[in-house]
Amino acid sequence: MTGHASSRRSFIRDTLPGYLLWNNLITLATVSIAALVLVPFARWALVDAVWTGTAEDCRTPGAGACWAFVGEKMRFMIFGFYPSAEQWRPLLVMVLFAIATVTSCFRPFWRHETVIAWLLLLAVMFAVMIGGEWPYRLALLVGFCAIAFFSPLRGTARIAVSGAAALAAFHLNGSPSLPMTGALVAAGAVLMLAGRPGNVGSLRLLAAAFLLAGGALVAMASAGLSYQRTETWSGLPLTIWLATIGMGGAFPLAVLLALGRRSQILLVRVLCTGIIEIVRGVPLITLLFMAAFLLPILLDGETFNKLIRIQLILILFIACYLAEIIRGGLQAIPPGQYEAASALGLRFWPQMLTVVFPQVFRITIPSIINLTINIFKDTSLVLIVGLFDFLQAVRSSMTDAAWLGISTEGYVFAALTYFVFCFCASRLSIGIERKLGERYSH
Amino acid sequence: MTLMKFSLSNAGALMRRDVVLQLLALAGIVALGFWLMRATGQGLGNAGISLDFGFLRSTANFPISESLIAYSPSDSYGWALVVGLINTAKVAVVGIVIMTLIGVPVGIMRCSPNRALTLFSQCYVEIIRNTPLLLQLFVWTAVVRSLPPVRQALTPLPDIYLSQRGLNVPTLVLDPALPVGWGGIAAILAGACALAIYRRRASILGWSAVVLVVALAAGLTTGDVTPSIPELKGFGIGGGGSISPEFIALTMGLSIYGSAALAETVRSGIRSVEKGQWEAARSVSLSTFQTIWLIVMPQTLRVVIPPTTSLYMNLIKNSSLAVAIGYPDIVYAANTTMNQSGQIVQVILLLMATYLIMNMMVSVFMNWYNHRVQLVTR
Repeated sequence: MTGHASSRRSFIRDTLPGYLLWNNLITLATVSIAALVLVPFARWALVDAVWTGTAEDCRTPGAGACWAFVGEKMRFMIFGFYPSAEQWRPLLVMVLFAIATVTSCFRPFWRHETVIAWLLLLAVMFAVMIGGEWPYRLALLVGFCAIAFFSPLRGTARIAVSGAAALAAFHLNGSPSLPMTGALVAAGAVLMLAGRPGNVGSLRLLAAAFLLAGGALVAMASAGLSYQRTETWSGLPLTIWLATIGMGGAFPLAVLLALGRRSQILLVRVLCTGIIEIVRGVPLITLLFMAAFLLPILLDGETFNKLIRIQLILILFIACYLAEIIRGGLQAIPPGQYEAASALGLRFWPQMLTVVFPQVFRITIPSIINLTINIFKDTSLVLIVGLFDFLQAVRSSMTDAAWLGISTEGYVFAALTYFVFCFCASRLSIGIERKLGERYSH
Repeated sequence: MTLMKFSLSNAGALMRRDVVLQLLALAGIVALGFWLMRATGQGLGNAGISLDFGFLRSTANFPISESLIAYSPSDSYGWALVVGLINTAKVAVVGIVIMTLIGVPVGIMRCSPNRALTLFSQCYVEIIRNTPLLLQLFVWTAVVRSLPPVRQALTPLPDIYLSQRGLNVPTLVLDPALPVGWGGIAAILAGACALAIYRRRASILGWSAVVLVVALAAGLTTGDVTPSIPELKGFGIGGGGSISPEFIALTMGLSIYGSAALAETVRSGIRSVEKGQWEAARSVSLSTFQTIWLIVMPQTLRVVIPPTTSLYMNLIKNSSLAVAIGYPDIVYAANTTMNQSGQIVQVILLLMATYLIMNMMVSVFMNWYNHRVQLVTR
């Protein structure tokens, strides 16, 4: 990339007339325009700024940016309405999320087991945020899943046992029984030893993940976290939660929609095309309005949790955009791959899972990360339907009577936070693109 | 057109299993549809809402702060929705034009050999693309609100006033007795534009503009067309045409956001043109500007039109955020109608249908234009 740019530069320098004069004039003009904008901003934001103090200090004439406001309000801006004593929980969730994201960026972690580890992590994060009965229920669930996962059962039997275990775990009532939970998780680990042959390293990794998750959940259940309704989930953790669950939940649906749109069966193709085109053709706001106002009517007055409703519609929205990206990737695979897989006797799903999708994701990862960045920004729209996300928390904090008239600093703080997330994600995308060696520029 | 495949297996033979499975699937979907409609009907019935569109004729009873056509709260809901739609179209057209005017030069700047220019445009694009649109709209609203009050309005040019109440510009007022009003003139110009693109002759548009200017000048002399100059009168500005602050904030926010994405698209388009084209242009002694205008941009267009279509459609969809800053577009009108009349299902259906139709129109036009600029091959 660098080589191409410098050879292009020298080529133009050698060939275009008057280059040096124009070049210098343009440079001068650009630098002076930039200085005209940047110097006053730097003076306002850094030199004249008030870093600590009260509102009076900020109102002194000649004072610049009031960062004291941001410092005072930062806890509210980030955590929203989550009770102050329990704010270590969303903080823990965000730290875990950051660690998991950073770890997943490295090549040794690009394997199937990471997905299962992420699912376990999401369960733990959910339990931490919500508290109450959920750590116990999820500990049981993880225990049963470990048993089912590592058991010698195969195929449908294993899926049936896991499904039944999950249902049973959710309907179990009664006081948390530590010994039972601990026993279940331990049983899972023991069965691992009697489990199937295969890559022992990855089995060990998975067993460790299950044990960690199960252990964390058991510890939380015994410590007794207080139950926090989803209405108190607000601020930055809500934004991260919506984006993460949205992207994660959208993947299976997007794969189905993309394959369905390419299907040769008319009914499936028409249905999938219709869903994708309609959801992509309308603004996200209309879908949010639909979820917030229309769904209660359709369900005859019964509403379930607003957060779940918004999350589900967000998953549908993301899935349709993701489906188009995946469809582009599917189209880029040469037909010979499909034919060769058929010639080997692979049926439809084994074909897709082992031959096609590894290639598709290699091609489409930059576009998918681009979509993730856009979704992260679009979660700010939920403030219009009443969910209290990060942007809304910042706007609310600006209405405080003690700090009246100070709004720019809040917007700068919000912009900076979003910028950090999105910029890092876009750099990650460029890095992955380079590592995968595919030149897929958009 | 390949035959439709009804067999589920790769072998291709149609087996009874395939037919039965697909019939079952069809039956399942139809049953689901019926159940959904019954549940909806029950739900609506219990809420006392009937599924008809008659409410569109009832009185709206809510004001709309700006409209190109006459509207008052005593007009019907249907008319309110039409006014909202025209407001959305206004934002969409102006937004797309400004977005293209800013985005294409910034994209070209990104590809310049000048490091300062590249850095400048890269910072612009990165800052705009990495912050949410809603945040940028709030910032623009705050900027527009911080403009001076009407009494101390800014005058960037004589007779143009910029204040908290918006932008006031001089306009020409057409005598109502004339056969065509501004709407008619806009329609004629749009027709000339379409003809110019269809016939690939820009002179058609040029001549129509000349005819229009001559007609307006003639009207000025005969008195049928009078200029209306805004001036400070009492507590406000009288005369002239006004552009509301919400419109300014929304259009600037949307255009700047879209221009950053368009700049990236244009950059990828320019980079897709081979170096040999630049060299060949140099060998026939074209200047840099001529090279870009005559050689590179036409080839870029071919590559860039499909993603640009989707960017334009994104701008139209993003205009729905107007509801957050108080500009009365169709989402605002629909939202108020929904809340007041209680006819939620119909209004949401209308709203979604409107956006789908608008997107379809843009998509059809751009696909046709794309087809026109494609290379003709065997």
